[in-house]
Formats: sequence, structure tokens, C-alpha cells
Amino acid sequence: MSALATVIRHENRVLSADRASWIGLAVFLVIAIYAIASGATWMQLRQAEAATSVQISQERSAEFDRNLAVIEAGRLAELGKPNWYKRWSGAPTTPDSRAVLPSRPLLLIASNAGELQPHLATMRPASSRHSLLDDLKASTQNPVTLAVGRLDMVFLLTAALPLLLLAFSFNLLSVEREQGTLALVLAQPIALATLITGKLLTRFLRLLLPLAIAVPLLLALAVDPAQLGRAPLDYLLLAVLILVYGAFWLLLAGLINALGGSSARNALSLGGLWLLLVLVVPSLLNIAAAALHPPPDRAGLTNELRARLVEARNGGDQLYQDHALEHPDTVVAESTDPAEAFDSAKATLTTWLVRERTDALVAPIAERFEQDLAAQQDLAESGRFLSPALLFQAALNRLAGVDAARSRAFSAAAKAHLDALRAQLIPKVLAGQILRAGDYGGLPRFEMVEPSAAGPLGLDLLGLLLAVLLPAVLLMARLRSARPVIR
Amino acid sequence: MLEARGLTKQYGSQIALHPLDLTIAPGEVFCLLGANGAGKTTTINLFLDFIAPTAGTALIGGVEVASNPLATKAQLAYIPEQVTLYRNLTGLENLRFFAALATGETLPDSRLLEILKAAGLPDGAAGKRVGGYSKGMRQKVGIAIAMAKNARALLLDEPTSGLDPKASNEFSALLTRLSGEGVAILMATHDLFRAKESGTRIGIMREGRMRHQVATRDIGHADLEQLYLEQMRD
Repeated sequence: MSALATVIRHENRVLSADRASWIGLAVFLVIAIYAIASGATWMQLRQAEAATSVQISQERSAEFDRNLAVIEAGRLAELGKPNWYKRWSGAPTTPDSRAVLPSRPLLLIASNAGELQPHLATMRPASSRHSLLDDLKASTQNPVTLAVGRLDMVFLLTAALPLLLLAFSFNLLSVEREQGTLALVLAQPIALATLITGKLLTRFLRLLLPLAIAVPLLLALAVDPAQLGRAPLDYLLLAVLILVYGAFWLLLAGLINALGGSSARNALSLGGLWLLLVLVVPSLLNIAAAALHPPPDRAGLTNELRARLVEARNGGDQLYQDHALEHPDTVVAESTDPAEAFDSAKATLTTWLVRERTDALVAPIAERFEQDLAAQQDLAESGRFLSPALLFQAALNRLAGVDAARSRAFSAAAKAHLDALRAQLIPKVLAGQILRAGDYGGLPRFEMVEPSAAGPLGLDLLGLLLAVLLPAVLLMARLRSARPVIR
Repeated sequence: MLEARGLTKQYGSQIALHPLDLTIAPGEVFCLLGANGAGKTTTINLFLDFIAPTAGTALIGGVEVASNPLATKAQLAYIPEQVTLYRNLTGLENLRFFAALATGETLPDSRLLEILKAAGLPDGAAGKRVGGYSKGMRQKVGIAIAMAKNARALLLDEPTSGLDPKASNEFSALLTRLSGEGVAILMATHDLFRAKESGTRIGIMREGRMRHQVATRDIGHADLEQLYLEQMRD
């Protein structure tokens, strides 16, 4: 039997006898199951919210279609509408359409990031862009959750998995030296590199590999086992990412042990590195991103947008008069029928002009906000190479479909859809036309082209592999000259 | 079999071992005597490649230790003052692991039990966890590891320290048997009596220098003690 196989077999035996570590693993698994269940519940709620929204929109559209037919037939009394309703040229601006960001199979792992992700937008052609922007800023379902954070699998795997692995490996060699067994082991014909490799491999095979298999399986079981067949690559990638990220922490523990410190010193060093890579570097990156590209706060943005809306509304009459002077041909003659005393055509046109003005006022604010946000996100995206924890988290968010690129693609698609609706309907408003029953079915439906995550995910994985390589190379270099028996 | 050529160890300005020249032939038992810090353990650690020499070379079977540590360790066995084993494993499991590391083979349990018995471990102890063993029992597992290895050289660092007289006597008998089988033995000890009883040659070390070497057959117990005390006084 090779020395490596002997070490692996022996380590298995020693690990089996270490009850404290297994209690740690059991606690981790319990927390993981809770996080998965919590994520699954959150994901189902989000999907239900989207489904309900779409259903309401469809029901409204159907009702609207029916009403149009009734109006066209002149049976306004059936609808309980006043007589002027038949000339209601505001009708073309009424239908709404919902944009829903489809859920990726692994969405449940990222409920924290998902909570802040825009995933649902309501678009009415006559709504100002500001109302769409409101939808696209963020979706927040539960402010309490936002205040305290949600225990999701992205957090658990990024922050707690390293701690679990370090608990099993911080004293790989040091404990042997402190107990006195290292001298007897290294008096045998076994290279230190073989000993450490065997110890690390045992933890990889016995701890990390089962976790990397169990987590994707549990995630699929929590929602729908058939997902495994529908998106096998997502689950496979998740397993690979867990293995690579875990290998980084195991190798780091191997490297620190090869430096020859005591168990207490190793624990402190590894704890410090965990703090640095998992908490400090991401925090510094956030601070840097916020300092270099400070976007207005969301509440401030909302206030500013509302102020512009009020400003535009207050000038509504003036806008109509200016429009009437510039485009006298589009102004519909006022009705002489006393029953139609309310000039619906004028009201609709004024509303549209106000909203057009609002859009013009809001556009630079929204553009600035989006540019600053994009710059912030771009900096965070580039900065992920500063820490394996950031790379891992970014990759998991991408797998879950809550990454910034996908959110931006959704926003862009929603805006493009709104523009398409407007392009089809607004000319009717300006011409004082009303919508016919048949017109409604011809309106464009929301569609989103999924941005390819393959490139960024490949980079994440490449970055993680390079991160693994660094402690591996340093460890091998150290092992060439290390004589760890005597301190 | 065991050879030191100008073997030196220095930590900064402090010299732990002045150039040492020493040859221990197969079947010879060389006992290193000296106070704490005399350089006995340093010498053994250099043969084990636990520390790197500052100058000179240590050789086992003509093979240089520092450049061929695995080849030289395959030829030697080591029993430290405190044989520390894996407390959660039984004596048999410990031997199984160390014997597999030492020989690269998986010896059958029946053979391992035979070895433990030959090393003097009491019946029934092999299946018990080492955490409950006495120092003498752990020492016997250490001897069993050395026996399983069939080593050509044996390094002992104060192996009888803390053992009761009976266990020490059994240990001496074992050394005599091993040396009779051609094993070269280097033993660091404070025990003058055991050195005279078990050794074929004795070296007295002080402050990292080999001060005096004498064949045990040429000196009596009382003279050895006198010689030792003289060397310590200089």
C-alpha cells in the first residue's frame, strides 16, 4: 500500500474518532437545511407574486377587451359609463403589461441578493418612465428581512463553509507535533508532502466532496427534483464551485500548518485570513465603490422623481396650450353634446403631455442614477478578483440569476418593452383615436433575452482556480525545505 | 552503518553540535552520555533529518541523510523518550499504521499481534485504546514498530527514562538481541548503568562536543561513573 493511501486510511480513522468535529458538521448541515428550506419558501413566494401579477394583468386585459367591444357597439349603459366614454381617447393608454424576470433553478440559494433584485415591473404606455424606474430599483418584500439579513446558502457557503473546513484542518500537523506523534510518523520513510497531501485529501474526500454532492441534491429536492434534469449544468457547476472554493481553504490550512506554528497560532492565522478574505476585503471594496461612484440614495431618488412629476403636472394646462398652438391638427374638436361635457380627449392628451414632460425631466436623473449604479457594479465586478470569497459569491449569484448583469438586462428589456408599447399606442393618442377591440391583441408581449453568464462564470471559475493554485504552489515550495518536527 | 563526518549544527551564534566524527558498525550499541543540552538529541535528530546540518554529513548505510531522507529512514527505526501514539486508536491500530508507513505493506493482524507480543505488550492490551496505556506499554508499542520495520539501524533517545527496573531490564535484553541480529544502535541516555550493560561503546558529550569515547568492555561501572563526572567537571 502506498504511503499516501496509508495516510488517508489512517486519517479516516482518526477523523471518525473526533466527535467534536462531527458535531460541528451536524450543526452546519442543520443550518444548511434551514437555509435551503427558507430559500425555497422565499423563491416560491416570489414566483407566486409574479404569477399573481401576470394573472391580474391578463384578467384586466381581457376585461378591457370586452369593454372595448361593448363601447364600439354603443352599449355604454351596460358598463355604467357616462356618454363621453365612447370618445375616450385615453383608452389606448390604459392596457398594462407585466415584465417578469424568470426564476433560475438555483434562485433559492440567493434570497439575500434576490430580495434586492428587480424582478417584476408593470408597464402602462401612459405611465411615466419614473413609475417603471420605481419598479426596477428594487423589490423589497419584507423590510425586517432587509434589516437583519436572511440566512441564505450563498452566505452559508461563502462564509460558514470555510469555517467548517478550517475547524477540521487548522491543526493538521500542529496537533501531531503537540501530541508527539509527528516525530514517530516522520521517522518513517514518508515525505512531509505525502503526509500533508494525505491529510488534505482525506478532508477533501470525506468532508468536502459529500457536501458538494449533497448541497445541490438538497437544493433540487427542496423545490423540484426534476430541476436536476432540466438544468443539470447549473447543479454540476455549483458542485464544482464548492469543491474549488473548499479546496482553496483546505490548501490555505495546509500552508499555514507547514509554516510550523502551534495549533493556537494556526487557528489565529487562519481566523485572521478568513476575516480578511470573507469580511474585510468585501467591505473595503464596497466602501471604495461607494466612495468612487456614490449614487443618490434610493429614498432621495424617489423624492426627486416625485418633485419632477409634480412640477410637470402643475404645468399641464400650459403644456396643452403650447401643444395646441404647435399642432392644431391633432386637437380634437370639443363635443357639443351636453352629455359629453367632460372633454376626455383634452384630458387624455394633457395627461400624455404631462407624462412626456415628466420623462424629459426625469431622464437625466434616472440616467445619472443608473450610470452611477452601473459604475459601482462594474467596480465590484472587477474587484471580485481580490478575494476568492468574492469570486465564489459572484459565481453563486450568477448561478442563481441575481447578478447585476442579469438585472440590467431585465431593466433594459422592460424599458424596451415600454417603448414598444408606446410606439404602437401613443400615435393613436396624439391623433385623438380610440382603441378598437382588435387592436389590443396585436400589442407586443414582454420578452427578455437572457444574457449569457458563461463568460463571467468562466472567469469566476478561472479566478478561483488561480486562487487555489497560489496556496498550492506556496505549500509545495515550503514543503521542500520544511522540517516541522522540531520548532 | 551509522556514520557522522564532521557533522555540525549551529543555531545562530550558538553551536549545538561541534564537528562530530563517529562510526557505528552493524551489531554495535553506541551509548551517548551527557547532561541535558550536551548535543545527544541533536545528533539523533540529524540522523533522522528532523533538522538540517550546518556542516558535515550524516550517513546511514553509506547513504547521505540530508539528500536522501526517505531512503535512509527506510533503514532505521526510532524510539523517542516518550513514545506518543494516537490515543483514540488501539495499540494494534497504531502498529498497523506505523508498520504500513514503515514497510509500505499491510501486515496481517496475526503478524502484528505476534510482534506486539514479542515486544512484551501484555496479552489483551493490543485491542485497547492507547489512551489507557502506561508509559512502559507505549514504549513496547514503539519497540514493536521498530521490530515490524526490520530496521538495520536503531536510534534511541533516552528510551528507558521513566521505565521501572523490570521494564528497563527487558529493554536491555531486547537491545542485546537486536544487536546480535546485526542492528547498529545509537542510544542517548542519562543512565550510566544501562549504558554499561547494553552498550558496546560509550561516548561522553558535553556542550556539543564528543569529549571521550570508551569501549564498555574496557571499563567498569565505578570507573565509568568516575570518568563521566570528570568530563562533566572540566
